[in-house]
Amino acid sequence: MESDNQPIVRFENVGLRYGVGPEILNDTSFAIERGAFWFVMGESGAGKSSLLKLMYLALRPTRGHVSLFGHDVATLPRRELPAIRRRIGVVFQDFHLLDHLSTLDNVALPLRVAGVPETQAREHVTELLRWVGLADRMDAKPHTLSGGEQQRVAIARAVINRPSLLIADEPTGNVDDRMAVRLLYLFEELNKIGTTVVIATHNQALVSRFDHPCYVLKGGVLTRTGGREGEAA
Amino acid sequence: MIRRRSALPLATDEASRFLPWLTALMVYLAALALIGAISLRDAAQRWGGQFAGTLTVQIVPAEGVKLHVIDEQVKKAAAILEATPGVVSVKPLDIDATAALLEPWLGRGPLVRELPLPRLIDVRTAPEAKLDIPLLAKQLGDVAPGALIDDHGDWLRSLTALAQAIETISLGVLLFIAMVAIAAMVFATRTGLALHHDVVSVLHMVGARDGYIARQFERHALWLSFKGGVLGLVLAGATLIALDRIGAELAPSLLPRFELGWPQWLALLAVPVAGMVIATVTARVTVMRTLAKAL
Repeated sequence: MESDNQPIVRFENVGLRYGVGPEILNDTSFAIERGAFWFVMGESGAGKSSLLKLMYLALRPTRGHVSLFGHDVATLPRRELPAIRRRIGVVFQDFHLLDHLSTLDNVALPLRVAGVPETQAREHVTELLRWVGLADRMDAKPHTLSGGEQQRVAIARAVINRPSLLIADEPTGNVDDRMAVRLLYLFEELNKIGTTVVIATHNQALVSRFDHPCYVLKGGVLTRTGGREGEAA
Repeated sequence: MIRRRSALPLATDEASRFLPWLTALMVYLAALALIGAISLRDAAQRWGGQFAGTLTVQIVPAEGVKLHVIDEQVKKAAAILEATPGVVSVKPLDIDATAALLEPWLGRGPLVRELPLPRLIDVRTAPEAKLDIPLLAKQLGDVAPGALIDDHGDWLRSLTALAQAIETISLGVLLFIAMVAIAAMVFATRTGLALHHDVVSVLHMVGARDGYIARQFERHALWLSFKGGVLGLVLAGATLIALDRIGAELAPSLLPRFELGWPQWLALLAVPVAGMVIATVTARVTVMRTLAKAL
């Protein structure tokens, strides 16, 4: 059962390895409380993306327990995964935009799979695309957009259904500093209305501009380096 | 309104481009097999109906027997037949009528009547009548040595067996075509899932249920099978109409005429509909089963 007091994400002694390779995560335990805003940093290959994939149900741990919204992922029936995923917004590192769909259709995708009426979906998508500066690119296909524009589309798609948990993997990697700050302010706004935010980034300078806890993943272990929220063990 | 596009770009798949053509071929073959089976059954029933309740008695003249003796034997045999319970009518064919029957092969002329032609008696029986054929044969043999009774049973049984065999083969062909259709759709759907694995992953990540993804494949399968079905239907219809016209132009013969009635037209329409149902259901089942193995 889910309750307001439960962490949104809980990892207990989680280990992860790909095939017979080394462990990417090693006995990782932490809990992300509802309404938290986390930065996760680490060198390339440290396992940041794998950690996030466990959070957005793209992977299952090799060992240990992962709980989302109070549900143990290992025992969750497959038919209930979509409902959990609809509460999670994901900004993928390589965007994962659908090339055959327009900007508008890409952003509307989470609303459509959730069965939101088309008129309402259009209203929300138009408003959000205007906010991220893509009002004039609504009909453009992803391959005609710049890297920064694609990233903004990916972010818009992740936040369009106001997720409870927003997970972003290098969400500002392809935008200039001004847009990066603007996007993080968007994440902060979502955080203020209750969305839990987890951002993996390399951008130390950007992280230092915000007063949120930062965790570093190194050697498969997550350790806290600063900020004021959350806890890691 | 937002212009809705399929979340999966299935329309551009190379792997499914052959499907309408394959569907058209299968609908064409299935329609011909089905309609062939229905027509044959109808023909066999018509033939069976024509010959049911009839007997033919042949009186073969023995060597040296005079014509008036044969006439006498025919009269006696007819009397026995008329007295037999269940017999509705007895119609002996005189020598002129018998000669007329043979006219296409032997021509017209007095010599034909000199030949030892067997004499025929056409007998009609009541539908529910159960004649004791061996007893009747014995009674007829007493008055007309060489009398033979043909109740058409052997011929009808052979015809029925042939019709049933062809019907079974046709159903086997239909089953085989359905299996090929299912296999082709499973292959195309699995290929589509593999080709669009990344898109399917994204759809799952944004919360799509397997049923949502399956519906995209269902719609695609329905559209492809509709296109193929219409093409197959047109080809099969044209073939059947051509056969119908050829059948109408042929002179009446021993073979039953190929006729297009409402059962045939109904079957013709049912085949592409069945093809669409098979394609749609197969696509859905394949997607649901394949995705059930995913995370």
